[in-house]
Amino acid sequence: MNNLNSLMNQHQMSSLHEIHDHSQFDPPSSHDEFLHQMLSTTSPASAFPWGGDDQQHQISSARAMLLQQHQLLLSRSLAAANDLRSPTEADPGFFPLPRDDRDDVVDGPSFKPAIAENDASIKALFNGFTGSLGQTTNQDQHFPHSQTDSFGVSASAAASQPSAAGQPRQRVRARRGQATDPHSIAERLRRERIAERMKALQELVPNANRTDKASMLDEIIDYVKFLRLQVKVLSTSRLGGAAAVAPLLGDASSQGKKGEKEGMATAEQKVAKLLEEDMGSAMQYLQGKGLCLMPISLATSISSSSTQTST
Amino acid sequence: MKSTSPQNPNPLKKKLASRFLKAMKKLSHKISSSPSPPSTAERRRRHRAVRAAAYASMASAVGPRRAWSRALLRKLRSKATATSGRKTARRNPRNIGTRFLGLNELCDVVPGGKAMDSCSLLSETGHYIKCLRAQVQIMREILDSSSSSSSSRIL
Repeated sequence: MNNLNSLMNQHQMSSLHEIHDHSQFDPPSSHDEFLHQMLSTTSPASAFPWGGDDQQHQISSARAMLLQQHQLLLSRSLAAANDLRSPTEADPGFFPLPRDDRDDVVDGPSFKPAIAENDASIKALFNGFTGSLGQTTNQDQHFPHSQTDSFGVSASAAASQPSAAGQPRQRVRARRGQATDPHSIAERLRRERIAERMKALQELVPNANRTDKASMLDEIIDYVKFLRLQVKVLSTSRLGGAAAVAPLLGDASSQGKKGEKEGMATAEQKVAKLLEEDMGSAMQYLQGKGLCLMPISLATSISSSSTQTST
Repeated sequence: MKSTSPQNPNPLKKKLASRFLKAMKKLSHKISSSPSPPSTAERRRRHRAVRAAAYASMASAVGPRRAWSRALLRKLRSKATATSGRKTARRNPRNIGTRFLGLNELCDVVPGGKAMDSCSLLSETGHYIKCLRAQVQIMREILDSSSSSSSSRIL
């Protein structure tokens, strides 16, 4: 236990530094004040359910709690002091983050707290700080996915922690990108795929400067609704053109209509062909001059019909 | 994305255009046979028919390759055979649990969205948006050309 404490104290300040950098609150100027602040709000003497001095057990839970603590700190802008000491210890100890957490700390701002907990005491402390976090005892590696929807990786790192903790001095900890838990890997893959699709959608939808995923989704939904509405409106106003558009795609049966309709039919035929080839510029041309671009095979037939009608 | 430059006409758009125009032709035959002016209800029915033709042509042009077009075709077929009383089981409620809240709304807008997971829903939405844009463009251009041709025709 002493080893553990001294170990923690070693990394105390350096970890604190990173916490300061990445958390969003204004910490007291000195680390001591920070410590005091955190310690004052903790309930250090809460029940420690550790049966005895089973160091391994303590350390494994300690590590899990360390990582969870770390994540809490970063996301909630809170620092929670945790006491890892056994009930026999008297002096309060700050619950530091091991050095390995620094990699995660760098990625910190995107973290959200993992909920997995092994320890009732830690849970009590957590509850004190992060009331909104739902926590259950002995929630080991399978925290509710709904809560960890966007932070499955951090939790997986936490989950892998108990397995990796064999000795107190070992700093081996699964990095964020190397979590070995299959659940976490699948989760991460799924998340990446969704992010890819969102990016692709962003390019389709105009006004894609939304950085937030939720507002981007709203934008997408609005755009789809807008397009559907456009189809509806256009179908409402189109019936004049619908009647004129009847002789299309080389259907010769419509040519037998009256001359006026026939002329219109010819123009519509041109339009029909154009719609298959090129839309915008040809349309403008047509509008301007009554001429059009079309494949050569059609040009002869249509020009012959147009010379008949345009005189 | 669809390009409107003369050099590379969009094949999707071509397909859409041809199918839509065919459908419109069918409709216009019906219209020309009935006496004008149409009543309000008749007019509304025609509008709905045009809209249905738009979606039908969209779905058939895309074919069964996409989940949304399959869902659309299924819906159209079931409507045609008037089996709307059939109760399709509410599928995959677990999908709703695993998706973000905004996706619930998206699956209402995109056809067949309820039975998809988040990942495929997003990709289907992308394709659906593309097709919708093409369809809207086609309809606009038809409208413009028909109105312009009738107004600026040189006789």
